[in-house]
Amino acid sequence: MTVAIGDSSPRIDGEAKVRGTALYGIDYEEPHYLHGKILRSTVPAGRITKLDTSEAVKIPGVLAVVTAEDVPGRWGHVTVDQPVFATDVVRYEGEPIAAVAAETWNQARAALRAIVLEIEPLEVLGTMQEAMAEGARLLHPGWESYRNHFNTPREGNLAAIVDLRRGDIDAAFAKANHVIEDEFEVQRHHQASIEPRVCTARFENGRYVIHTSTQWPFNVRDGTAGYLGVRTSDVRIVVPTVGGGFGGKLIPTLEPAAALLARRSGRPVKLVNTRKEEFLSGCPRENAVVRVASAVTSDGEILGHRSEVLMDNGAYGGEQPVVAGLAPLMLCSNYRMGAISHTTKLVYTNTPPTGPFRGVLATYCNFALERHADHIANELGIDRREFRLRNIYVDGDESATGQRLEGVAFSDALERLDEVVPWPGLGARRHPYQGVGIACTVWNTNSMPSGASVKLNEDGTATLISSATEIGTGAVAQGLPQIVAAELGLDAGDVVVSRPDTDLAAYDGGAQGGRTMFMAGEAVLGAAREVRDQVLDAAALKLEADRGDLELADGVARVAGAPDRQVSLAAVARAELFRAGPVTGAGRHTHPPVSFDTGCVTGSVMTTFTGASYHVHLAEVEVDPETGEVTILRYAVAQDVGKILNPQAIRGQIYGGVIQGVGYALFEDLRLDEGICLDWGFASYRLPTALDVPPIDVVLLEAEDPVGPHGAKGVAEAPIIPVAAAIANAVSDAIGKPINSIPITPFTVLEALNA
Amino acid sequence: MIPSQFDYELAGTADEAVGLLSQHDDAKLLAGGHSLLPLMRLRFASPALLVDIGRLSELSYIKEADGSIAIGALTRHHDLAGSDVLRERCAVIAETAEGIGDPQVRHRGTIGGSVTHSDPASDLPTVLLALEAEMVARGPSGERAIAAADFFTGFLESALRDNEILTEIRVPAIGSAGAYVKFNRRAQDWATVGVAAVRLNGATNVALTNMGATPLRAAGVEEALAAGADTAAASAQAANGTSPPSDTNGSAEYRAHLASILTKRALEALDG
Repeated sequence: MTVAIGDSSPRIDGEAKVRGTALYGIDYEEPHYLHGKILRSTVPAGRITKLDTSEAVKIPGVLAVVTAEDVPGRWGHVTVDQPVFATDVVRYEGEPIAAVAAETWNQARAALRAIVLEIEPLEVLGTMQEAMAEGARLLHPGWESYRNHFNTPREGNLAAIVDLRRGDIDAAFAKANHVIEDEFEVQRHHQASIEPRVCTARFENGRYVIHTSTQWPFNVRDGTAGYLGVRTSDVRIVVPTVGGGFGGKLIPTLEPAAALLARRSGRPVKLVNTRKEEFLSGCPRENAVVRVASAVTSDGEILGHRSEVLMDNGAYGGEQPVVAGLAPLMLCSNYRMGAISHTTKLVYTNTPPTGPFRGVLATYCNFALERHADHIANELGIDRREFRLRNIYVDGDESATGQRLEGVAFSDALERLDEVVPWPGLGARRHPYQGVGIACTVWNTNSMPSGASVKLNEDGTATLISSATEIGTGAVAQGLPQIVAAELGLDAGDVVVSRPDTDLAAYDGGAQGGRTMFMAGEAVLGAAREVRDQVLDAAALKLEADRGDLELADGVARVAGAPDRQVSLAAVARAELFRAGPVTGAGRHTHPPVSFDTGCVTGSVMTTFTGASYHVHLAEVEVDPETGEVTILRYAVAQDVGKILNPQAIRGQIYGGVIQGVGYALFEDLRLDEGICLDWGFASYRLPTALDVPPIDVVLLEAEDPVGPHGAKGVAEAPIIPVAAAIANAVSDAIGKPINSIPITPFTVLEALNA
Repeated sequence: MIPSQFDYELAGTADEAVGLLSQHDDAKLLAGGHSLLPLMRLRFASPALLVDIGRLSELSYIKEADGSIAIGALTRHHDLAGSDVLRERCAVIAETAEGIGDPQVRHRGTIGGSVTHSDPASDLPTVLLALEAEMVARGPSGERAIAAADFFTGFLESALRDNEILTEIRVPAIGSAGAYVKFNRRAQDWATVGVAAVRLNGATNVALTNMGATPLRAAGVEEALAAGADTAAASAQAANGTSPPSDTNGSAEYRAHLASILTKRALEALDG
C-alpha cells in the first residue's frame, strides 16, 4: 500500500534486529584485522614519571604500540583541551595512556601488561567543591593557551561560565511578597548503550577508513582528523548498525587511537570497549547542583528569578561548554519569570569527562524548576496546576533570551492531559501516601544542517543517500523513507536507505537533539520533491497529460480520475535515462536564524529554541511509609510533536523516554569516590526492568512548526526530560515533604519522612 | 563473558558425577549455571573442571511421600512454581520460586543449584531453613541427609563435601501454612532482605534472607512468639543477633529496619 504521512509505516531494520542478523559495529570484521587494546589510568590524578613500551613491542604478535609521543595534538568540540593519550599528566581514572594492536586478544592484553607505567599521584580534585575551592590546584595549568572555538568565558577550573541578566533583579526581589529558595542535587547518569563503543580502522591510500558505532559520523570525522592533524577528507567514517547511542556516541573516543594503530601496523585494527571501559569513558550526564530563588507576589506572580547551576565537567570539556549554555533557557522558559539573573558554571574535576545524554541538562534543570514551582504553589496555598496555568507561557511570551515564542502548546497540553487524567485539585483527599505530580517542559529541536539525495531506481524503487544515522529511534529506519515513499507514491519497503558514509552523502548534523526528522527530514523532503518533479515532467510527456492532473501512487504516475492513463515509475526511470539522464534529486537544509536579545547572555552558543515543542507529564505514585518504596501507579504524557508523521514510532520513543526517566528518577546513580568510579557494571548500576514500568498514557498534540517537514518537530529526545520532576513532585505530594535530590531511593524517602 | 580456561565433562548419571568429583581436586558442578557462571565471569570462581549435571533428568521431580515432599535437586524454579503438588502441599516453595529473578533465570536455575550455592541473598535457602528441610547428599559411600540448620555453613559455603552432589530436598507438607516476603528496590533484583514464616509442628519458624553470611533463623522473633508476644512486638526482634551487610541496596541499619517490617508482613500473611 502506498505510504502516507501519518501512517505507522514499519521499520526497515526491524526484522534484521529481531532475528539477530543485523550487522552491528561489534560484529564488523575486516580481513586480517588486529585486536587493539587501550592502557588506561587507574588513578584519577597524577604525573606520568615513567612510560616504557620497549618490552611490549617485543611480545610476539604485537604489531603496534602508540602513546602521546605519536599523537601530540589536542582536540575539543569547544575548547581544545583533550589529547588522545595523557601527556605528562593524568586527569581521570580511565584516561587512555597508550594503545596496542596485536594478532590476538591475549597478545594485546599481554602487551598492555608489559608496558611500564609509573604515575606520581597528584591531589585528587574529585568534587566540584574541591575544584572550586580558593587556591585549588589547576587541572589544566595551561588553560589560557587552549584554543576555544567560540571564545566562551572560562576561568581556571571553570571550563565555561554562562551568564544571563534581564530586567531589574534587585527591584523584583525588593518588591516581592515572598522569596522562595531551593537547592537541588542530581547524580551522574550513564547512557548504558547495550553495544559498547567499538570501531575498526584501516589506513588505505593515505586515508583513514573507520567503521564505527557513532551517532554523528561527521563530528567523529572532524574530531579524528583534528586529533591526527590531517584534512577532514582524509578520514572516512562508515556506520554499521548502531546498538544504542543516547548522546554518548557523538564525539570521537576510540577512533583516533584505532586510526593510529592501523597506520602504524599496516593492518586493520578493531577496538572494543569492555563494559567497565564504557562506564569509565562513556561521557555520562553530569552530576550537578541547582540553586533557585524566586521573588513572588501573594497571588503567585513571579517577579524575579535568580539561579545558579554547577555542572561537573570531569577532566575535559567535550561538548559540555555548548550544553551549559542551555541552562538558563531550560530554567526560565516555562513560566513568565520577570527579571532574571542566572549563572552556570561548568567545573573541571578529576573525574571521567561528562557529556551529552538524551535531554542533556534539561532533565535536572526541569527537575529543579518544577519542584520549585510546586514549592511556590504550596507555600502560597495555590493549587499546583492552577499556579502553572497562571504563569505558563502563551503565544507571544519571550524566552529567557528574548526570543518571541509562537505556537506555544502548554495550555492545550495541560487541558488535553486533564481529559485523560483529571487533576484532583487542591485539597482533594487521596489515599494516604499516594501522591500526584505534574511537570511541564519546553524542548528544543537541534537545528544542525543536513543534506540528502534521492534517486529513482530503474525498477521504480527509490534509494535515499544520507548520513543521517539510525540509533534505534526509527528516524532513519522508519521516518525518512516514509517521507520519500509518501512523496513518490511508493509502498513501504520500496525505499532503500544507504549506510551513513562521510564519503558518499552530504553533511549531516548527527542523530541528536531530536533533529533527524526535523532537519534531515526537510533535506530528504527537498530531494524527494526534486525527484517527484522530474517524474511528473517525464510522465506528463509520456501520458500527454497536464502535469497538474497527475498523481503518484501505487508505484505509478497516473492521471487523477483516469486510471487507465498511467505509467509505472520503473518505465519513467528507464525512459528518463536516455531522455534527460538518471532521475535524481538533492536536498539541503539549514535552519533560518532566530532573533533574540543578544545583549542579555554571555557564554552561550545555544541561545534560542528551534522547533520548540511543549510537554506535560503526570505521575501518580504510592509510597510505602515503612520501607520507603515508591511505586508508580500511573503515568501520562501530553506531547506536542508538531505533526504526527508516524504514530507508532512516536509512541515507542515516548515510552522509551519515560522508562529512561524512571531509571534516572528512582534507580540509576553513577557513583564516584575521590575520582574513582564505583559503578562499572550492571550488577550495581541498576536500570529499570519491564516490571518497573507503569502503564503510560500518551496524548499527542500537533502545533505545527513553520520550518520542520510537514510541520513536524523533534520527538524522541524530550520524553525523558520531565519524568524525574513529575515523579519527585508526586512523591513529595505523597509524603508531604520535599524530595529535592535524585535518585529517589527508599533511604531518601524514609529520611524525608522522618525529618 | 570471558572466564578462565576450564575443562568440561558431561555426567550421564548422578553416580558418574560423583565419580568425576572424586577424581578431580578442583571441580565444580554445573546445573543451570545461573549462580556459577557469573562467579566465573568475575573470576570469583575459576574451577579447573566443570561437571555438567544439567541433563540428569532423573533428578528433576516433585513427589509426595509419607507426609513430606521430595524435590529432585535439578528441578527448575519454573517447575517448582508450576507444581500442583507444591501448590497444594507446600505452597510457600512454589510461591517463592515464582518470584525468583526473571523468566530466563527461572527456566534455567535449579533448586539444588540455589541451595548448594548457599548465597545468603537467595530466596529458597531461607524458605528451606524455615521449613526445617532435609538435604540429601550422595557421595562415593552412599547417601546422607543433612538438616537445613546444619547445611548453610558460611558465605557461599555449605556442608556438602567436595565429592558429594545434592540429589534431593525434602520438605514437610504444611499446605498453605507458609509465607515468604521480600523487598527489592528494582523488580527482579536479589532480595535486599527477605523473610520466611512457617507454621510447623505447632510452632512458628521465621528465617531471614540477606541478614548475615548465611540464611538465618530469627531466633528472637521465634522466642517472642513462643512466649506469647504479639506480631508487632515479636517482629521488632527480627534483627537481633544478625550482622547484615551494607551495600548500594541498603545499609545494615536499613536492612535491620526492613527485617522487622517484613517479618511483621510475613506473619500477617501467615495469619491472613
